[in-house]
Amino acid sequence: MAGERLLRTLIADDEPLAVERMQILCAQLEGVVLVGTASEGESTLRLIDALSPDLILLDICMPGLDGMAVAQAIQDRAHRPAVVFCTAFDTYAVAAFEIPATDYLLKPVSAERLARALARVREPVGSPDPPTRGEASRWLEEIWAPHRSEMVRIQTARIDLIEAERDYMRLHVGSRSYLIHQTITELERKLDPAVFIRLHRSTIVRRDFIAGLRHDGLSTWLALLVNGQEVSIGRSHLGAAKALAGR
Amino acid sequence: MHAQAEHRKFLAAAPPDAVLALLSIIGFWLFYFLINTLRAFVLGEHDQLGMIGSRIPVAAISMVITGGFYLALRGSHIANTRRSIIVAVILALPAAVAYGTVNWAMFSSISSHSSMQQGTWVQGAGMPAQAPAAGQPGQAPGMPTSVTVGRVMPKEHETPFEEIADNTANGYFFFIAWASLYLALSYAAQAKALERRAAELRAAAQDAQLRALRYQVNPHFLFNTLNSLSSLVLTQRGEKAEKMIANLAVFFRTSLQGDPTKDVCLAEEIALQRLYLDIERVRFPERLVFKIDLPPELEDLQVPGLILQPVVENAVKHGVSQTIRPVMIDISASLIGERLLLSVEDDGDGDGAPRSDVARVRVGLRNVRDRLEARFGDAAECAWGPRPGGGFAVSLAMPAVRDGG
Repeated sequence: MAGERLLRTLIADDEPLAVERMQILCAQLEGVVLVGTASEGESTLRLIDALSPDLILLDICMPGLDGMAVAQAIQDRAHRPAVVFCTAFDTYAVAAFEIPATDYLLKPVSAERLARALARVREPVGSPDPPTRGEASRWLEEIWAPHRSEMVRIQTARIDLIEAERDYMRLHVGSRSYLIHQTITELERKLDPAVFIRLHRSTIVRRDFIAGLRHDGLSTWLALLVNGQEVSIGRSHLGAAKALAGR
Repeated sequence: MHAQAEHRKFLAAAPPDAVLALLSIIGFWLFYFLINTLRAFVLGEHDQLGMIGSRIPVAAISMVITGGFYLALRGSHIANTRRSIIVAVILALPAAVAYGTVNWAMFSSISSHSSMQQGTWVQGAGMPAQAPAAGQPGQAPGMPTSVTVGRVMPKEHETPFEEIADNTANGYFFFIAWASLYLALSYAAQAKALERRAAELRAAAQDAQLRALRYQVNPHFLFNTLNSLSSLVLTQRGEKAEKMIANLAVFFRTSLQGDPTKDVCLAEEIALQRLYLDIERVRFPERLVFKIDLPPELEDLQVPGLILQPVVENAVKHGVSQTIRPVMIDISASLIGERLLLSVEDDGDGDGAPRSDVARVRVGLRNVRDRLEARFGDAAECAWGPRPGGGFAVSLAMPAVRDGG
């Protein structure tokens, strides 16, 4: 593949068979150069410093420093490899919000899916930085959510409505919806208040997704959404909602 | 056909209360009959045989009247005990009047016949339509006109109305007495039925609890194992992969098919843990070592199925997988008195470095504790904590249940 940038890749996983499997998959893909393997967090960091890889295929569950901690630690490094998380189950997706990752793979990773992840790493040619949130923003700009048997990246600006479902939050994006394991308070804290508004104990709505307010006569207020849906407004959120409507 | 079925359903539904009422009615009046016969005998009253002959139909008719009283009482559908007493007090009145009338009719006719005297017919003022049961109703001076507990001396020169009123007043207490008996018995029966129902509900609740607490396959384990398996296949280690697939099949079948409310023998439970650890050892070939100590005499003891699974899984997840060096998992069973003690220890670093999901460990172990409590109540214990010298220790103590217990 002429013109394709060689990706110097480091594999970090504490299970020998998992490392072997990833080595085999990488060997089958073009443009990947395996520079090393690590089996725990500390040695992963050492190898990153010593080898300056372009990409790290990072297992999340490792003894000592786990994958999340490793990804966090390299944020301050001058040389930052692209991070592709690999995990057996998606309970870590929440933590991955905070850490910019190029992709999020579920084990066992298929060769085809890995190839797509590598393509994503190559996208911002010339810069090893993964596409992340804007420089100035301290607000969450993307969320990883499980969809079918994959993790998909959702731009927070595209979320219309967020509703609590017991321990989970349902994110409505157009006609699709995704469940993530997160509390509404945590999520509210991470979302830009200029874009989103909390309307109820269990509801957050994107401000421009609200078409109007309606009083239903029983001292309760409803917000009319752009898609025709109505959501009730909690008493303690009514003031903010009315301010939004300019009343 | 349908009506018949309905009828059968009614019969099936009726018995407990109706049978109770019937037996109490028969018992009550038989007792009354015996007491009066005995009294007549002790007092040496004359014409005892004749009196018995009249007492039998009186008792029989009284049973029928009481039956009617019962139907009226039941028909009033009173669930509240206090109200049903009030209803009984009211409904006993017409029953007592009927009783008084029958008594008057029977005994006055009998006595008039037996004394061969010509009685005088006196129309009772309030009872215009009283039909005499047999012969000419009349009065027999000097003869007892009815036999009741409260009256020993025969009354003389009573009008039929006075006599009926007198019998009614006496009879009234009989019906109140029977009603008390019946209400007490049916209340006792209801209490017993409620108790049985409560026991059934308790059993159902325990069942539901055990089902809710059942072991659920840890998705981390499943997907990591599939990943290892895939690796074995990619590196063409078919025999090892085949062995792992067979182990996985047994493990999943046991955890999916096992009835969470049923016990299994300890040997089986331990065998499953061995299987599970064999699977995990493929993932952690260098880091997982285990030792199992099960004395042969304890093999047949009964334990809740999969009770060790969350404990051993916890040792792997938070001991082995969090530790860079090899970790020993030590599973042992012992008998202390009549209590079975199961212990799972590891010497990993897990608990030394608290992690974000330490709370999850506790959820798994608390689930084990809840299951033991649901199964054995206060007789079981589940304790955990850091192990002296490093690592984590969990111990389960429960009554030693032999086969079939």
